[in-house]
Amino acid sequence: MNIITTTALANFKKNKSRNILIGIAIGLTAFLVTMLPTVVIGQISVQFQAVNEVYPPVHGAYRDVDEKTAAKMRADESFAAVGLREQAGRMYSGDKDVKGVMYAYDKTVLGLSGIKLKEGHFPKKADEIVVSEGCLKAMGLSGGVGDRIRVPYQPSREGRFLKATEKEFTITGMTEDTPEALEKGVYELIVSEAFAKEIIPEGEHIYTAYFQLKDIEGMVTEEIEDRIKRTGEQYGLAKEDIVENAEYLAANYVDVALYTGLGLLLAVIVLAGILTIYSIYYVSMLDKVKEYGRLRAIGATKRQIRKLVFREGFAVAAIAVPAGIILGLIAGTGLVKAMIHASISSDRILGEAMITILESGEAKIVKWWIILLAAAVSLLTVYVSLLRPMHKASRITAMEALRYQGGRKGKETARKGYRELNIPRLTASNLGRNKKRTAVTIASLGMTGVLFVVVATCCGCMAAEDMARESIRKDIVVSIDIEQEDEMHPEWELDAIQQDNPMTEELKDEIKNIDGVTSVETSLLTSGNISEKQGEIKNADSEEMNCDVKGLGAAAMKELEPFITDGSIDDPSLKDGTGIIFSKASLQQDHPGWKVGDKLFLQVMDGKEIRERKVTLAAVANGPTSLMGYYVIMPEEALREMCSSDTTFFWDISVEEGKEDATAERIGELIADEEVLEIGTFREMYEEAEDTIRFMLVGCYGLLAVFGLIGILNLINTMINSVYVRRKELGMLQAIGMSGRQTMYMLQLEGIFYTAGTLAVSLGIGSILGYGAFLWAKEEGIMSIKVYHYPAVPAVCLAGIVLAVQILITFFVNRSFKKLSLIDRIRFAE
Amino acid sequence: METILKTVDLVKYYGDGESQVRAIDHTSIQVENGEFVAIVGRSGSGKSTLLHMLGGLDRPDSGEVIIGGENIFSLKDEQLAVFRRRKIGFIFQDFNLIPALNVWENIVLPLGLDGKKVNQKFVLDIIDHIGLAEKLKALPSQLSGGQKQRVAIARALASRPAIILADEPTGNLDSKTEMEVISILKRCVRKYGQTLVMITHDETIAQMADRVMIIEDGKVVR
Repeated sequence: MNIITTTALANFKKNKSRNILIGIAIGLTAFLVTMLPTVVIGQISVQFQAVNEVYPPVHGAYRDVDEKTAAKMRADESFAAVGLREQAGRMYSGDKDVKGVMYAYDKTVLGLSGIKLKEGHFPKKADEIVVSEGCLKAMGLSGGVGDRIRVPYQPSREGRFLKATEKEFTITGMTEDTPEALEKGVYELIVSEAFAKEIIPEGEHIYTAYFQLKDIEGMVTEEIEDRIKRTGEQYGLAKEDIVENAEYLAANYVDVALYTGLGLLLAVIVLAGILTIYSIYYVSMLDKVKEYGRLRAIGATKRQIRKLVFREGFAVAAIAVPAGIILGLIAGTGLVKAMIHASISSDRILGEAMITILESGEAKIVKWWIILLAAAVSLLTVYVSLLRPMHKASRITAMEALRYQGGRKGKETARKGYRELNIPRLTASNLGRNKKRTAVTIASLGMTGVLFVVVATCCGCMAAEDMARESIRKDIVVSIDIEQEDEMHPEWELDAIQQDNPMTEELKDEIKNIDGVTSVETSLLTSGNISEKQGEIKNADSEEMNCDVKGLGAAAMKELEPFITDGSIDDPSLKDGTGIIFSKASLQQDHPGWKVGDKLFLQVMDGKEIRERKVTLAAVANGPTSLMGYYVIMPEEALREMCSSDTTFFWDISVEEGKEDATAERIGELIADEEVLEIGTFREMYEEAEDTIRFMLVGCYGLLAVFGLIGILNLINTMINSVYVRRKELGMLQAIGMSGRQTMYMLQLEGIFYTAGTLAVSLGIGSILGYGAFLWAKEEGIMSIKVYHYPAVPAVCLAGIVLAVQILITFFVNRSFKKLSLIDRIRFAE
Repeated sequence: METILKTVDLVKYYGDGESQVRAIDHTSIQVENGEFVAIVGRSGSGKSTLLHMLGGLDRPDSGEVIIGGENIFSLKDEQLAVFRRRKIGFIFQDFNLIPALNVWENIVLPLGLDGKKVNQKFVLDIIDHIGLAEKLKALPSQLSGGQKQRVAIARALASRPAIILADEPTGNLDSKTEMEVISILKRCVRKYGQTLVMITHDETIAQMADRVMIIEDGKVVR
């Protein structure tokens, strides 16, 4: 070992407390750059493996494909495979909530889909069928493979379901019921292509075409998705009928966005790491000027000094990086496991497949390349943090160092100063003396604080309550559940319901009288058409209707007011019934050219009739769907006045706290006989929303904890250093009569200054950037963020923790400082 | 003459057994009001330890230090700190100025710590005497060694202490500046009627004092 290394190691041991701090900072960085990719990559690699097991290996599907187009696709050279599935009809139970959809698959789809039968084989003849036990039971049938069953069913015709007939089928196989099917009462049955041909006339078949593309090796997911879209458009398919198999694509091709996001996060961590490690070195370097100067004096070259600083730094890294990586791997794998186990509620089949894969140990969560990457990134972080200190140390000349009195050389100019001194003024002078250091400290402390507040803002805005409020306005909603295109049940169509609406005043009163119900608000909804042309739609059941029209009561209109982005809710046209409000998203998507003040023609469905009115686009709103619907909004009276039938569609019911469950049950009983009414509760929606965001929150708060930790570390370092660098100065102050209490007071004031500065930067810049992040998330529709919540609790926590840490540090520093005798303190320079 | 400072059988040992160092070994001295006393001794003779004890910076193993009639080691640490800033002016070898404060602030610092109003006329008078009237706003880093020590002298005088203790005040200065600083110190002490106890290993400098004490192995021998 040469002398530089020996000296570096000796220094490494001597500067123990500083090196422990730096070690923790480096270790934390290594921990984070290991844990984060391990969690992300580990989670998705298990997910991808599960996707490949669960999802068919198709790149996408085109829906609503007619026979001619299907034939063309099959002949198209750009597809590696095209398979067709057709909905031939559905089993008829008479119960609105039980459906048995009969699909006919061609061989290609059967091959691709990997559907496995519990027993038996797929149907070939027209009177063969594959069923499931749950379906048979729900339909009131029974039988096993080989048995014949009489099935009442409705043939499908261009999206409609015709009058039911009966046919005798032989059960050739049985499938497993999925939990979703049992829960929702929607079962999938398999019939033969022959059956589809038999009941659907030629030329009227409508398929969903599943396909694999050719020549896409090496393409990224974005390119593949683009190609799927373009090809679909070439075949004249509508946007909504082009579906890519996103999960499968993500699992098998490179997703640029994912890696960009991951890279950005890692960059933030590395930046925080560099800032922390650098600031620790920066501060402690002041203390070491003399030492390096002596070495220069006895003949060390600049290069050797650089090496010395570098080796001492890397000696710390040699311990901290492996420790951080190991801890990162442990935490990462633990988190992946926890996340996979917790994710089961969002996509059950996939979730179960993931757990199976995880437990079988098939998927390796610990990846060599992550370890190597983490090691490289951490060492690079240390190296970058060391660059400036290395440079600085090497520039110290012998003379400079030997003359060094703990102050700074050169540029200082006279200061105006105070006529009289007291402790606060003394503190202010001290802080003002090295403005750059003070600023660097506050900036680096504030930086983590800013990240903390931004992430906290995003977490705060990602409220389960808001997500739930997106789909439900009050505690309980009773609404109409329409069923279209069913020839057996024309009474489930909207026009029919409007003419005989079960949402009567009597029923409303009954609900109002239920114990716990505080209010019932009515909203209207009907189909409509909005256009610049007059009389665009001729008949009421036209499929051409292009929008929903929601009629809002006075209270709901008031609630909508804060969401108005353009125009005014007080526009006179809204008062006299000739004004409409447009949903911002729909306006942007479908009619980007329209603006507030435009005159339009609104047609609404009124039972069998069409009513038309010339309206003014009075305002644009961006509120929750549960409040304003998807498209056009007008005041309740105006819509009521336009229609002679009853367009009541929603009852938003408020309930006394604590009585939600009982009331919901009671209302459920009350409407049980009304097939077209359904009930939803806030609690259900809230639980669903909680499931969705739980993950994100765990991740985000984890990130917050880490940022907080980095910040606290930084604060500790700053405070300790600021005292130890000046221990002689402080000792001298005490020699000339500064009492212990005054010392403590001065340190406290300094700490409070740093705390206040840090909090000002964190909360100030953090809140602004956080609001920016909120606006961005709102615009992009991320996690249905709509309402801004100031992260008050995290902000108060941050302030409290920073303050507490500062007070604690001051206390401990002062105590450990007191242990040194006054003489030692004064003599410290020696 | 009134005795301003007195030690009674002062003892301070470091370590024990073979390696025991008797830094101060049953020392009793006495300094009269307005006197300029030099304590001379070699390196390691115990003179610095004695001065630290006189200034209440370090506590003795036994014995008393009485300043202005008060046994300073009967005071608690906090009281001692207050006593120091009121009754004792320190001048250190390496100046010990606060780098963040300018000349004026460094001088009035002990007054500030005591929460006292600054007698501007008095302080300006001192500053005139040490010849730094032009440098009031300068920071310590802009001053030469001699100028720094003059600031330290002014600081010691500013609070009108009972006694000024100087620990090798010229140890870090060249010989020309050394004489200059000592002259100023002596002149000021006379002018303001102060008592000065100075430690030095330099016989020439010691000769400028009214009285010289020689310390060897922790004992005052003359």
